[in-house]
Amino acid sequence: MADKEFYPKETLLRLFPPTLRDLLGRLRVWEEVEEVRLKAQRPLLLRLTREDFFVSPSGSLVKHPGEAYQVTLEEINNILNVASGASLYAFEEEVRSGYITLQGGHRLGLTGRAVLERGRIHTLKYISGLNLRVAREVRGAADGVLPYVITGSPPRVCHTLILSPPRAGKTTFLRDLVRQLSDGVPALDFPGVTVGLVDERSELAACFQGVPQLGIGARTDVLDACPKAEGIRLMVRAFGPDVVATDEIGRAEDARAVEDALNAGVKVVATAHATSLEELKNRPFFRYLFALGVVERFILLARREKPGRVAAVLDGTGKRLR
Amino acid sequence: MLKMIGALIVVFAGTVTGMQLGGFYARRPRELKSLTAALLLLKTEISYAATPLPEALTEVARRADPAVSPFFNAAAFHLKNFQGTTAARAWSEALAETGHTLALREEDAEVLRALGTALGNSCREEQAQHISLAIERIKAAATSAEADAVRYERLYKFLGFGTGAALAILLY
Repeated sequence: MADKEFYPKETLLRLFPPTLRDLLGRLRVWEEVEEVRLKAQRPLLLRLTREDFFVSPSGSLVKHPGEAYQVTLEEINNILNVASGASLYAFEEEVRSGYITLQGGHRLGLTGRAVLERGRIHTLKYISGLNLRVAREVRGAADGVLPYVITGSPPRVCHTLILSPPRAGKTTFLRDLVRQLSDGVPALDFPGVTVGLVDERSELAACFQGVPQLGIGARTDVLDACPKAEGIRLMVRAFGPDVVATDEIGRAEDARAVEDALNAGVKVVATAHATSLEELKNRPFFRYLFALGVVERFILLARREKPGRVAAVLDGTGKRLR
Repeated sequence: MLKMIGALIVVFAGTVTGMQLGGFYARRPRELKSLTAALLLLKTEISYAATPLPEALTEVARRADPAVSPFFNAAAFHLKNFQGTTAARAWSEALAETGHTLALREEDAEVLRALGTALGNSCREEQAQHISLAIERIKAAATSAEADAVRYERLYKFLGFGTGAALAILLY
């Protein structure tokens, strides 16, 4: 699948202070790095596609934490300062939600001490843990399923639910699907439709200062950091898209919003956490959704040697199409 | 005649040197005050508008006293043009580049450096606190600088003139 993959090693390295830049720059596994985990006074950890490794002070991969490079608090502060453009205070909303989206769509997860105000997180203090998640745009990730999602003549989009276990590439997959639905698929004679993308966790379009950092298609409107239920309604009402796409549905309030979209004749493409269809049937939201009988395609992803593998495509009745 | 002119030149040189030395004392309270005003602008930019630091510094440079604006401009320049620069780094580079044009003492520079290490690292309230602390410390320095100015400015001016005159008499 991944025919066009771009890996922004240099952009990422610029975030690090000289000591770490030197160390990480020597690594030969950048194409596989999914996460760089940094915690003050603890070993530097890399999460690769298949397994995780610590990084030794000489810049090689080791399995034993005792041999690993110890990250300092100063380095953490340094990265935070650079990543926020020396303006962490301008990212208060983001700090509250626990991550900052960076230029290029990468995200920096933050941990520290939560300061509460009326039971809600007001801000994080003493930030001492960072998790740099590398954004990957895999153009063509959804190629294999397009003939199942776009059917009929003239071609139309099916209501689609993408199921996958965590870290199996569902967000990457949905992003590519949205991009192709939006831009059109010449091979299927599909001209492209308007897509309303409700990006609650800023992961799909990875907006940086409101501008999508990843390819999501020419006809896609993005509602960044908006709660799904509200976002879906807003999109349907204000933009009248042909397709509404969103990540990780499953809360009770999402159900009404999805129903609203269905009533307005809008196609819904969404993802959910699950390893199988059976697992979903036990969750109230999906029981309700299945009772409506509207989902036309289930796409099951699996994480094997590489994320984003399509394990199966099922139709609305659960019959296997692929 | 020639001797007379030479003597006058010596007296003049002494006076100018004295005025320059005294001038440092005269400039210091003024510049410290400009600095507190500029820091107050920075605090406003950060706490009310949450303006990102590079832009906030540019804005401060634009509105601050011309004596201190090169410093803020330099800090903004470093942040904007060198990717991967922390606020602390940009701030100390700016101080190194433009500090000598200001009538600052080592202890004033130290206050600024301490502020630099805190910039951009926390939420708005905390940033405002750090800036307020720096302002208070600079204000205190300005008060003592004012007293010094009254005392030493005249002293150095007189000393310069006096030394020049004494030399002239000796050489005459």
